[in-house]
Amino acid sequence: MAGGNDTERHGMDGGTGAPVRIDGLVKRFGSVAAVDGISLQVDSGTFMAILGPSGSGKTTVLTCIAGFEHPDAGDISIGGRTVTRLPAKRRNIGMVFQRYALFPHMTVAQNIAFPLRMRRYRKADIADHVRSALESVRLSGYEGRMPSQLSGGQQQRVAFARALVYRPPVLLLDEPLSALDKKLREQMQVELKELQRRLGVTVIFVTHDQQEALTMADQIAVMNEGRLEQVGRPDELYEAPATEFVAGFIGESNRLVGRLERLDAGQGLAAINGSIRLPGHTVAADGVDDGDWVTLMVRPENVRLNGTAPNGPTTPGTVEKVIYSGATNAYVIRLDAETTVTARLLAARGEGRSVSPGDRVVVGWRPEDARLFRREEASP
Amino acid sequence: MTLTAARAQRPRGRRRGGERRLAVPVSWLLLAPLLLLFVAVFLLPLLGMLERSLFDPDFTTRHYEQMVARDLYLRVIRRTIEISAIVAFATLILGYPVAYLMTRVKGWHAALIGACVLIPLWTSTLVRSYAWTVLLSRHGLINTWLVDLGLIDAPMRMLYTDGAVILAMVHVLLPFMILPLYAALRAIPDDLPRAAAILGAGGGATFRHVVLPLSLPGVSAGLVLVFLISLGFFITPALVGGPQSLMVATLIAREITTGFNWGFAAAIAATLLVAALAIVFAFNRVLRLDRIDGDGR
Repeated sequence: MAGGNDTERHGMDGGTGAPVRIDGLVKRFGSVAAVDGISLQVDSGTFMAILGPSGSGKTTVLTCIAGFEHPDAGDISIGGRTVTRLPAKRRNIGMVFQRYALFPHMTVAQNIAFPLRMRRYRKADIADHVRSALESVRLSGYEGRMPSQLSGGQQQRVAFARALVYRPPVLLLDEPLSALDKKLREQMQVELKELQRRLGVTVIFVTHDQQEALTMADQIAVMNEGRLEQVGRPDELYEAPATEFVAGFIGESNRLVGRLERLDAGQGLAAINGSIRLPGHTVAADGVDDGDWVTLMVRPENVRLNGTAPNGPTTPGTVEKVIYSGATNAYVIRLDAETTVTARLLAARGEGRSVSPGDRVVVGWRPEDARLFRREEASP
Repeated sequence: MTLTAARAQRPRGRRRGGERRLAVPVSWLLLAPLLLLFVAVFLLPLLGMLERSLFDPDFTTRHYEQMVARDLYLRVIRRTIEISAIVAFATLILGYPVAYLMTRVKGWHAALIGACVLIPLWTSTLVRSYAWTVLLSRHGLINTWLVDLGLIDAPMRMLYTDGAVILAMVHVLLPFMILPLYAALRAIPDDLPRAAAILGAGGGATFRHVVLPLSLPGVSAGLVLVFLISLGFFITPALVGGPQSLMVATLIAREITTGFNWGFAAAIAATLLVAALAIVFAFNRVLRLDRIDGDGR
């Protein structure tokens, strides 16, 4: 795909991605399974984020795809070709490292030319490709600079140019935005997304930043302790988290732990901690039965104050504090000694304008906005 | 504390303007003890030696003339430089793979290699040099084995040759090469060889284009260190070398201990010092030019 014959296709426009398939991947370090049986299908041209806390094994998945680590079990294929036993240099993958990994002793141009030289492109072609790659990351004229003479953002552009100049069908990103400051990071998110759309390259992006994953990814795979918790579109993960971990990791959420007294489709009654009673039915997760310990999850923006949610569960509480944050304000409502619920209301619509600390309010939400997860023990 | 904080804040491989530093007077104050020691036991005696070589008791170039007049002294200095250069490059060739291996292995393998490098360093040079005389002598272990194996008919002359001097010096000085090389290789972030691999470079190409160029500071540090120590080597050449493999340190010692000729000894030492400085300076120039050239394209 990235042979020396594409003199017509200059720069980094057009091109195609390739699907990536991971089957039952296991990688142990000593007795610890960093990756514990993961299967994941990434369609061609998809922007897939692998999201998880540090130590969840997400980086290990990436290093296995790249070929830096060899899995103990399972298979990886790229574009239908099994690459599990292939060395990194034969996989024809692009990768941008967290710290960019530019070669400090080479100029910008030499860095970008490196993969082309390794692929034995002709000298004249190399010069052409380097020039248009630099153009497409808006760094023309920086050919002769050393990486140490560039800002963090510029180094990152060079890293992208170097990873894409040989038109790999798959691009791996290892938290490449984490070293940038907030503003530059947001700008790069937009640019990166745009670059990916233009190239049609399949991107697998490892991050611990859920906001980044929600903004950029077509699909998100949430990892925890070496396993996949859920794979889906950002809105699916946000609105219908499959597990308590996903619910807690993506977005803000209120989590109420308690024992489920009685639940039936029409007329349910959940009691949380025995003292908070939630009349009205709640959306049940599979396998939750009466008498189970459960976590009830509801997003702060779905919490209504003073009876604006018809047919949903309601419970009385006292406003403890109001946290002003611009577009939305957070209202912390104390339900009992151990339990608080946060409601996030849009300031512009005047919601909650009349509510101030100390007020007695009724807290409620629409039945379909709450989710129940079964839990093994009572302690949170 | 300030120093550690500044180091921790600095992102890897990048220099920032607002780095915190110690105030200049404080830095000088901290440097003062070492500086005084250096002036007292190193710089002043060095100047005294130069003075001795030129004043006896009035200004004279007699000692230098005497040295140039007799071919022997310049020849010994030249041979000393040659042997030191050979030793430096031999330790580089032998030490590089060891240092490289030390960066790649983990656990008890690393500890074992580290011990093999360091323990000789803690053993007296005198002991190690005597050990070589036992191994290399006409009826030593190596000759006995070679004869027993039928590889040679009669014991060879090994001790008291240039070869013996080089061999023993390489052995003694190897750690001084391995340690700076190891430090330089360790400083290369893992990501760089990985980046090279994913960009399409095999093991050989990664080494040639990434690891080797980035380890050059260690190479030059090791070469200069071993070369300079070799120039002044005394015990080992005196023990395993013969009259033919006389090194300049031995010569200087002989002038002082048997001839009581301090002025002349000082002249030889000064000449050696100037030659060594010139070589190191030239060497650094060459290496720096080489590095600006990048990966040699």
